[in-house]
Amino acid sequence: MKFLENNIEKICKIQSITGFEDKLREEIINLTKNNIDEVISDKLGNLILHKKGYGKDKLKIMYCAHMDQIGLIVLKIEENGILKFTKIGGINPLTLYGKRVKFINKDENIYGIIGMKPPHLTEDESKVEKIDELFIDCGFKSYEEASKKIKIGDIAILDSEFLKLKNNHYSYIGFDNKAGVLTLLSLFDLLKDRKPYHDVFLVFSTQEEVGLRGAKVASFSIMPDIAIVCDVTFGDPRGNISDVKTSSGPVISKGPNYYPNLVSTIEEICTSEDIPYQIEIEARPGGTDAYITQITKSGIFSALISIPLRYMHTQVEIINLKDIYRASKIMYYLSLKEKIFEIEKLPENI
Amino acid sequence: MLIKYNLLIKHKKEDKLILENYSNALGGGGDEKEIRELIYKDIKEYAKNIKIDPLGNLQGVQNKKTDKFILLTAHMDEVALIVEKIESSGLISFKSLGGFVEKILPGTNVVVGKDKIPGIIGLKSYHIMSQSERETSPTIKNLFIDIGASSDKEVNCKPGDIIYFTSKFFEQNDCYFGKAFDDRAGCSAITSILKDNEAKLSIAFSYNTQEEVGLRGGAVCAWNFENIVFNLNLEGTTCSDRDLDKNYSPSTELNKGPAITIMDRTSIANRKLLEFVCDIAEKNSIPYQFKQTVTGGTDAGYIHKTKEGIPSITLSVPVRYIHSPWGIISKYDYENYIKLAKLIVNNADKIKL
Repeated sequence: MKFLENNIEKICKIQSITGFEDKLREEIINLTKNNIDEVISDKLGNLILHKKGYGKDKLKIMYCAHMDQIGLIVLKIEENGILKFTKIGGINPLTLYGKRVKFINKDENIYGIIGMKPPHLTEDESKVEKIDELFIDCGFKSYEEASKKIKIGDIAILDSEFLKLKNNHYSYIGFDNKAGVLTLLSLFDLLKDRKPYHDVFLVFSTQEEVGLRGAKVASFSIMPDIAIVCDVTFGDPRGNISDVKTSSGPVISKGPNYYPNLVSTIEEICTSEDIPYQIEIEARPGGTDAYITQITKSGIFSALISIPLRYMHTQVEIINLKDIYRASKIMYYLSLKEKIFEIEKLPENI
Repeated sequence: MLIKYNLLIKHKKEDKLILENYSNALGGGGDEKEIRELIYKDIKEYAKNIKIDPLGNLQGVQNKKTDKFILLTAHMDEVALIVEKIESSGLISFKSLGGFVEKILPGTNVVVGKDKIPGIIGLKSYHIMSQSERETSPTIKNLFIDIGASSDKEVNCKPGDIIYFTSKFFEQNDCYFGKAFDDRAGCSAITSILKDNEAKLSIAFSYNTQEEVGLRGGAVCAWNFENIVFNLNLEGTTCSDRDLDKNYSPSTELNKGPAITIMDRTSIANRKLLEFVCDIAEKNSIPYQFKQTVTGGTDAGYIHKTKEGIPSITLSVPVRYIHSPWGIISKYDYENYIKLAKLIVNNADKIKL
């Protein structure tokens, strides 16, 4: 927990909008380079950290978390200096109106407000503004003034405060999937001073939010025996589709996407190591990098460990740091475990 | 000349700092203690008979050689939220303290109650919303505040506690960004005037409470004063000049100077006063504009009907995205607003009503 508490704010405040993951990649390399056997960065920008195992019958275990987060991108600068924009990834459109945005990768701080009409001038309160009806106002008076500081293609996030809330909860933008990134970093920290039985590959993948792109090539190049994907899932306290809650432990998914024997081993680890966990059912594969790892090359045994998260794809996502720590503990014990599972065989005497 | 110029720069810096402090301070209808004490600290050496009336209005006078007064008013309260109920889940349901377009709320950082407990206004993840939930803007009824508690036992605030936005003032592109310019702009204008003026008429002032919930402080504020010649009500007002929908009036426009209200829902400016103010602005080459909507109301709505009647006029700084966590005002509008207000005060003895 110490490692996570010391690093959560630093990691979260590095914005890594899809396609612009560089700074986060550099920071992860800085944090880990002295205690890892191999650092690989591939053509799609994935970062792969390799920790060698000592085991005689060791397997290749890939732990995969996507680095990218959703954001905004400037499309056009209007004559009067306001900016038209669209979203990168599935930002909740109901949390844009009247909000502050912060531009990323600029030499100076530039903020803008997404314009709204005050109550005095609003006729239809229930209308949901489409993104192309909205605009960003940085206080520029004209196109000329704006274009000195903003270019088409500039990226921004919805701005919010990094908050430590009650009960180990934290709120900020981008916990999807800084939660996964932090889980893998915590696993790195747990393995820092000891050798795992298996070969461990920590994959920080790119471009998940626009179609699971990074994970596809990363699993291709590693071709692991096992892929454990770490992402976030719905832990909304009101109106949730499952009973999953934040602070009640990481979530283990069941369904056709996930190899049952691997899932059982994960559950056994939780029980024997006294790690609280929750179960989520996914009747149909989809939504995370595990969708793609399962069907890479000739197939990879896959599982998904998720961190429950409130208010996904808003600027005020909430996670519980203990859930992240517990997820990394599961991965730690899995990396040490000599015999992970029996591969299903055909019966001999049929 | 140089000395006077330097003095002007110093004043501008001071005026900005006052506005910054007032904008960052908290104070919603009925809970104006923090902002009131901040103002009191600023003005106590510049005024006499400072007191709090039963509504919480902060009032006092600055005596000159006459017993005739100009009354300066502005309201201290900002739009805020109030805790309605702590749910067993630990979530907090709330109501609004002032007028909101409720769809600006989800995704906002807030602080709750006297201990300023940090929290956020939550909204169900988009992925798990029904189609109809996605197509209708959320309202306060289905929003809630989350402070990270897992049950009501961890929530140390009570129904009735006030909830505030946490926006911090900053300057960018000759604009000021922040919360509560409606009406901390007016409050900081009065403070700037009290600190430095050349008025012949004595000055009475009232920093009012509860404007946003129905002009409550304003309803009583003028009763405590005698011999008021007229009231200058200092406000922040609507400005929708960046909207791409051109089918309606923007109300006011940024960078075109302070706005004078001819008429709104609650009052009509005194004609002679109106001419007097426009005349001062023109003679001193200060840009000004008329507010071009009649929506909204201000404390002037009550003040002009107090006792036997008090001629009243409202001067406002245009605020884009008013009644939200992030307003924008023009630095130049603000400077001209203070300048014009000071000139009105300094020349108040010359008016014939």
